[in-house]
Amino acid sequence: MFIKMKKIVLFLCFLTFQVHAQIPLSNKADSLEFLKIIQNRVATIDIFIDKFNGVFEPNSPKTDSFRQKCLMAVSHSNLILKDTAIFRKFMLEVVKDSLQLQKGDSAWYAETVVELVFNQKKEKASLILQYVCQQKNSDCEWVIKGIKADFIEKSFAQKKEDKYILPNKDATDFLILHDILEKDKKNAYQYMSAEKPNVRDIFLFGIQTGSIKFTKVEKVVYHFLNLKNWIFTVEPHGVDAKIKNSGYLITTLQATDPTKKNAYLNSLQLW
Amino acid sequence: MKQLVLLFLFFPALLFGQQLTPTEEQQVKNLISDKVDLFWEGIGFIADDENSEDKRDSKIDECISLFETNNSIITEKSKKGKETIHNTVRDYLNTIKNRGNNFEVEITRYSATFIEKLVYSRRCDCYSGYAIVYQKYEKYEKNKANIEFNRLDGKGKLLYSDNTEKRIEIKVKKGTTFVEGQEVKYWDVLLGNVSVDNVY
Repeated sequence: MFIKMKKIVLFLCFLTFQVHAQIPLSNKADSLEFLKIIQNRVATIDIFIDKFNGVFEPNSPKTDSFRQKCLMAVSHSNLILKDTAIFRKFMLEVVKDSLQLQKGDSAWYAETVVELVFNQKKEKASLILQYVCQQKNSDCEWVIKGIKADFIEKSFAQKKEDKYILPNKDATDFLILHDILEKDKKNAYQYMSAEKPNVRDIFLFGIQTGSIKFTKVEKVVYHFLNLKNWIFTVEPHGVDAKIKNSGYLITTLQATDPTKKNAYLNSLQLW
Repeated sequence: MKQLVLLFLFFPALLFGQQLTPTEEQQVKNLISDKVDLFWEGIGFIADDENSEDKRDSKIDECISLFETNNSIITEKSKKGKETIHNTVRDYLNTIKNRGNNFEVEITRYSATFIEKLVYSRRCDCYSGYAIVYQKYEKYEKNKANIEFNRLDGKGKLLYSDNTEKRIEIKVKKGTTFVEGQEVKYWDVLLGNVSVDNVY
């Protein structure tokens, strides 16, 4: 009963909360209804970080209640209503400890789900990008730091027998290297290591030789590991009748400790 | 001593040379806004089949010249967000041009153009950011009977409509040129890749 009540109170808070306009709108606006919707839209990840930190307007109040409202404004309603207990714990901790996200602290990653063509077949892979700054919050750029590509692992898990350099090739001073590196360029990587294939090397090799072709970015998910006890993901959401907020919103949230964080980082398969 | 004085004079310039002054930033933002306006006017012109084909083709070239490269990409998400379509700007504009003559298209740009903060990058010696534009697209049936008898607003039956958010990458470079022997500094604003998302 108490949990139900809590959910209702949270839901009401959520409905009544009016996010302050982050977009300068002129009076010539054509549709007030539409403008109301985009006022609540977290249009970019920069706006997400500013709203999360409660500083998206020059005169943002510094009160706890305002910070709580800001956190609700950047969270998906499913998270608020379904995982109420964990969201509440997260919200209270962030507000109590005044936790902030910094764009330049390199502890967050963008996972881009991309479509590739390999062997004339469409395949999916995830490229993990990290926001790296030379100095604090300046001279920054996104750097590719990892790749998850099951199709590469499956395709190259077992070498074909004829792709080994046979033991007696030393007798002819390895003249076969000419065939491998000049004639059979596309399969050359198969001769390079007897161990488990290195996905990064094969991916780069495939891109360079044209055997893997990049088509498009399908989806982006941001993984935030900046906060000590929490890991959350942010995804862009379209406007839906069921949810009030839209744009870049916290979609999943989990409490963590250093061991879990390392396991999570490993799952991103950074190199 | 002289060297020390010079160092102190130039030190702030070295430190803050990468940051735009508020006046410069406003100047650049106005330029970006103008470029985005030009692009939108272009789209409206290309979509309007009352304009001749030649004029629409030359408008496509004009629009492409606003972009940094010919290979700038426009990504569109389908209305349900399940499919992503990648096109070059030329292909995108050609699609708009060739949408057929059987219907009337109305493109309304909401007056919210939001320009994100510009960030300096040493790699390109330029400032980068993005502009966000909200647009309403409506497609009406082009039917004289409808226009004359059924609709007071002169429009046919509404066939399709969407509201989209377009995020446009912007690159701003500082350039110099000589006009009548005098050095004139200017800001060069170029558009980059565009992502289009349905908002409802």
